[in-house]
Amino acid sequence: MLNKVYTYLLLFILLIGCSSSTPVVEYEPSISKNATERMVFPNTMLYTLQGYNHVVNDHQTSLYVKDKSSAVLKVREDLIILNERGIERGRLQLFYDSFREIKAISGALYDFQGKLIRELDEDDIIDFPASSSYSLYEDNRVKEATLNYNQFPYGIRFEYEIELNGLLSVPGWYPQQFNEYVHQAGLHIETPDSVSIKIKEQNMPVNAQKNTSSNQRNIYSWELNKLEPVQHERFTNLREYNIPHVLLAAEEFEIDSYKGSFSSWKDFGLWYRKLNSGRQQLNEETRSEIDSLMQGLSGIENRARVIYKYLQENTRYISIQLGIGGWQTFPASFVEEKGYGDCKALTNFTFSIFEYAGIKAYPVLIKNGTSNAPIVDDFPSQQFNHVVLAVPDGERYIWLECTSQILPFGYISLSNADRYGLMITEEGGKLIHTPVFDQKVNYRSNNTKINVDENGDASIRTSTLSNGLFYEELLYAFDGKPESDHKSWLRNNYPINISDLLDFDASSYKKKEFPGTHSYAITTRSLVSKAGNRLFLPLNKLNTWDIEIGQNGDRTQDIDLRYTFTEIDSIQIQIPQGYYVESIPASEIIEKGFGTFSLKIRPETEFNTIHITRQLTLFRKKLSAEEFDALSSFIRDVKKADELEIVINKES
Amino acid sequence: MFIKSGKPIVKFLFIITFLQFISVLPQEGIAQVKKFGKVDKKEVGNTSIESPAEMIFNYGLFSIKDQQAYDLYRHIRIKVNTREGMNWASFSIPFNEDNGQSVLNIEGQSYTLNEKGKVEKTKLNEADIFVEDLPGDWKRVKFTMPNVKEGSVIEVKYNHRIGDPSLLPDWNFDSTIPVRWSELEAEIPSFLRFSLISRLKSELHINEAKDVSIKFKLDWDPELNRGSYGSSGERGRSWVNARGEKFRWAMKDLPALQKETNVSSLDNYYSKMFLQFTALDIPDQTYVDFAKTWRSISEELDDNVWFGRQLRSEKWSQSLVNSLINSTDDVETRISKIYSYVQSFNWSGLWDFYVDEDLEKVNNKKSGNSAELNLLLVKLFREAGFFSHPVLISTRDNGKLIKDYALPSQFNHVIARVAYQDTQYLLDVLNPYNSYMLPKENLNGEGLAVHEYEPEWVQLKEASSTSTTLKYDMELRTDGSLKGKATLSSKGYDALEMYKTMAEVGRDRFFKNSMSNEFDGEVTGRILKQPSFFEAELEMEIDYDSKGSSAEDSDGPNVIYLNPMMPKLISENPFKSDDRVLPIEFTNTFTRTSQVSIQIPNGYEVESLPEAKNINLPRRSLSYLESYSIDEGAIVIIRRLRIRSTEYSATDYPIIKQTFDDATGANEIRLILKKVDAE
Repeated sequence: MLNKVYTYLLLFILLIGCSSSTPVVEYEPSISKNATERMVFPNTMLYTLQGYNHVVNDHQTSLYVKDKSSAVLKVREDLIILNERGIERGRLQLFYDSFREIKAISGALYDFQGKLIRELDEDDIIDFPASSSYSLYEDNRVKEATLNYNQFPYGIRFEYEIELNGLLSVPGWYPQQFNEYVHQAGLHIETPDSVSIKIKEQNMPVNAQKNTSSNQRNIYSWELNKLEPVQHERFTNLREYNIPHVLLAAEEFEIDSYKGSFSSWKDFGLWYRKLNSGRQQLNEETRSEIDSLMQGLSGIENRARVIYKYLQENTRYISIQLGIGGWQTFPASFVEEKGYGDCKALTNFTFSIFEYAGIKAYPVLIKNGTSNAPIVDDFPSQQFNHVVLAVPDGERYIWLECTSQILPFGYISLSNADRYGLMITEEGGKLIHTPVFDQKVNYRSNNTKINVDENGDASIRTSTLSNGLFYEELLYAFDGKPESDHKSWLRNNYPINISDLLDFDASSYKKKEFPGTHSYAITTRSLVSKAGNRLFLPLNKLNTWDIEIGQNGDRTQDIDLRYTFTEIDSIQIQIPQGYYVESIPASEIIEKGFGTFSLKIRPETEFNTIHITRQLTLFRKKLSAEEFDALSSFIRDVKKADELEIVINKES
Repeated sequence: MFIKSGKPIVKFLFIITFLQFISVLPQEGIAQVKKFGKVDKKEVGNTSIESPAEMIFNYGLFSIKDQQAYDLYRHIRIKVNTREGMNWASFSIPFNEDNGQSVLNIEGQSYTLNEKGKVEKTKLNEADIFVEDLPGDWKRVKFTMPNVKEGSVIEVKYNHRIGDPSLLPDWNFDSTIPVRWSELEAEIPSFLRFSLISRLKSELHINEAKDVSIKFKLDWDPELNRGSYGSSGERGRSWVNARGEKFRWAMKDLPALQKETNVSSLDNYYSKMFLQFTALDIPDQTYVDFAKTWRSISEELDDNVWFGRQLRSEKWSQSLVNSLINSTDDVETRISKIYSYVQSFNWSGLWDFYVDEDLEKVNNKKSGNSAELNLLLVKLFREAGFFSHPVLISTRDNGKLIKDYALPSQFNHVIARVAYQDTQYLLDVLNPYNSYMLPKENLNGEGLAVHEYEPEWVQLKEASSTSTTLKYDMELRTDGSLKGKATLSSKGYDALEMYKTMAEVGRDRFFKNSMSNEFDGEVTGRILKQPSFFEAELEMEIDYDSKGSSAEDSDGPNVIYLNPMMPKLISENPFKSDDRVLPIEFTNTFTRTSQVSIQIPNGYEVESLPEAKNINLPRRSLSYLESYSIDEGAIVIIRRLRIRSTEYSATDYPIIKQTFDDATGANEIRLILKKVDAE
């Protein structure tokens, strides 16, 4: 459940905290018991015919900004639940902490004629910590209210009021979720003249906005009607991208008496720097240790490598998020004393060491994760959930993920790669693009020797070189684990049954160098099929493309091929003496704008060997929805080619 | 189960197959638990990566503090070997304030080798200990040890106020990491009676008891305790010395218990000690029997406001039942109508065997926890004139019931039994299948049917047998493509599961997508029979025309290589590891058969057939066969897997693994067809 809570949280508000963040005032929201007797109930027949499980009949959000440090958010949502599969939508989750107080929640259930059945009561609400498993303590919590019924259709009205203390993070407006029809939705914002709000519409239809102003209050409002459901399709990784929404941010904000501005990335960076300044003091012991470590070392890279090793050996990641601590780092002395910290604390500690050693380094705020939308780079606002350290070395940056005790030096990691981050410099914030993880970085090459005997039993020896995402995956599987774990990893992940696992070597991963190499030797009875005197040798059964793309057609969204890769397989099959090749597939090359595939088969009869080379590359590209069919048939053709077999027969 | 006088009885239970008897000979006391703060320098540093962490010792002491309030004093020392093992440096201890519980006097220290090779001690700060509110009356204390690195030793001690002696937690000797020494001591004053029950995988290293004098605080009221503990006529508090016994149990060098596939609950395999509170016995004064027997538990529940009393007839439920069923309905229709009514309610996601809310309110809300929904079902069955009872059960992931240990907290769920004449059904509203067959998760030994007088043990078994037969009739075209008809007939869980998948995907999409992928081509399918509430059967028929070639021409035109698209009897072999420690469990027994018949094209003959296979375990508890034959111009391939037991010993593992490999078709076969006139 927490997982779901978590995704919801990310949609709603992103705080600087390695996981989520911020503090608490424990208090009970008042449940107002004055639901209207009736709810306007639409004709649901057409919705049912459309196959909907639920619809949002009306969604209204109002934001009343009082001053630079407070605002009230009021939401009313009318839902129509059409069948069992829609029940889940009747669960409302609200997050709170000391910057967000839930002032009131109310709810009511209506029958298909719009008549009140009952109101939400205390028993329908549960309250639990929202912290992720890595957290030691976080003060943000969840109130979850559930209403449901067993006669369809039925209606639900939720109303709630949240007070925002400080406008560092003004929640954006997302009136629609995936796979749901919204009949009408409205956003209403009122601000005093003294506070200006920045607004950015995303995927909004034209003419949705109607602004007015009166009596020193500015009023902004939007109205949306008949929003068709949006599906989450493969290869988008952009989540809310395709759903209409409005991003909001305060031009100027104040939180715990720290004043800041979102008028530019530069200004936001200055605020962040100020908030975290004066927290870099190292104690005598650390300083002398750093002194002795730095002795005789020259060059930024050499020194940075030693500092990163020092960090990894002496700290671990534990998250504590309390009050302003969701934004402000613990001082370096906290990490010195306890040997742990969250992303802010560990990055600040490392930053402090670099500062002491006289090496320039910059914290970089990141929106971490592999499946969320990139930050909106032309809308300075709080969009981050993580921080890493960048160390300039000549023309390039050395990237340090300070929360990891596993990643090698200078390795950005997939969940930080290929996106804009906000580098915090002396002059303020600057957007910087992190290294790209594409087919040039993500590569794997397998060198395989197969010996087949007359019974069809095979012994296989493979050596694999992995980089980028392939490397990262293996690093987590191998690091700090005994050989027995490495072996069971292979057994669990090998595409065919292993009879004997003779040898496994992943020692290169201990050295924390990339690309990594691992190799193994096994025997198997599941590779080759035998029929009479014939043996069937598969071209590629050991490194197949494990992807289900589905049927053609129906694609509506553009395709973003994000984590692309290159794979090279060189296979040498030794066939038994006295056998000849009876049937052999032709070599094949497929070249498309988004990828290439080649398969070359070359028998060497005098040595009883067959050489197979296979290469598959997918390019980092954006494709239109129409190109989906081409992509899908490419994948199918590759899979088909991989299934081909060579037939050898015994000489009579 | 309990005795009224004399020494408590130590009762031993054993886990099947791997265990030996315990000798009750007292052993020489070996102190393996060291004083807090006294850590041998040799323990620190020197890591081995064979396990992420190991417990150097885990010590617990149940002692009585005030009156009948128990404390658990705990002292744990752990060696952290790897980064992963650092998770063992974080603690989370739940407690229930409503039961008077608390966690006090937490002290912690870590021991880490510094750069100079010296052991550095770091204390856990009070300020780094957090208390978090959880739903209900629960809270948890959370803290993590400072300055932990690979090779660190950490040490923690605390007092956990447990309260009532009936709330003493079970003691697990082993853990998911290796345990070098695990020791539990328990002070039991003579006026408290316990049944001591153990379930152990190997011998206790120490098993001793000695007479002691136990000192504790007593608040007393002259009105209530006339004549006892002195004779002062005033209300007050004093220290009392009571005679009693101190038990000491220890095990050593316990390997890590690791989760393997096909194990319903790892909890079934821990070596455990249970202390069951049975009576307060002050000689010549008071004797209060707290002993639970299954009978007393049943009686109590039957009269409990949050259980049995909810089942009594009321106006609202009478009229509800009258509106649900017609007088002309037959018995089965009545049962299924009442079931469907409650089944349409929403489950809150919580497991319990007590209701939280009055059933009338549950009925209004149309949602409830597992007990609320199933007790409502029982109530409505009773209103409809059926003989119906709640049945307490422990679901599979909650662990097996230990029947010798009469403690209701072993249960986590309650289901409904409804009977008429000689027939009885066990029903669970949470059933994902809408069937009279219990969810597989409920098939866990026995359940306790709660009656007014004598409770009854009910077998939680498969209500009907599970099997699937797949028949493929294929015609091989000369271009290598296949065309034919497939029929599937399933019974029991196979039928329910397959039907559920179809319902989720949608019938059209099931045939159009899933099946056309399976057959690689055009598919039309129909359902001939679908499961109903009282009949778990599914039959369907599929016509397919595979566009993909399952055969390849050789370079010469005279030979066809055929891959006969064998259906899998098991979709994936879960048994991948090479060895096995724990028994292998299956939720239910089953038989799966496939029969593929391929018409040989005119003018062709089969060159050779693969060898038949036949695997059997003793008493045919498991059997597998694979046969190849030619019958009336068709190749006939039959495969059949029978699992007739729900638990197999680890020694059967290699055969089970091999069988499942065969049943998943891991070793693909090829058939060679030759032109007859080519010879």
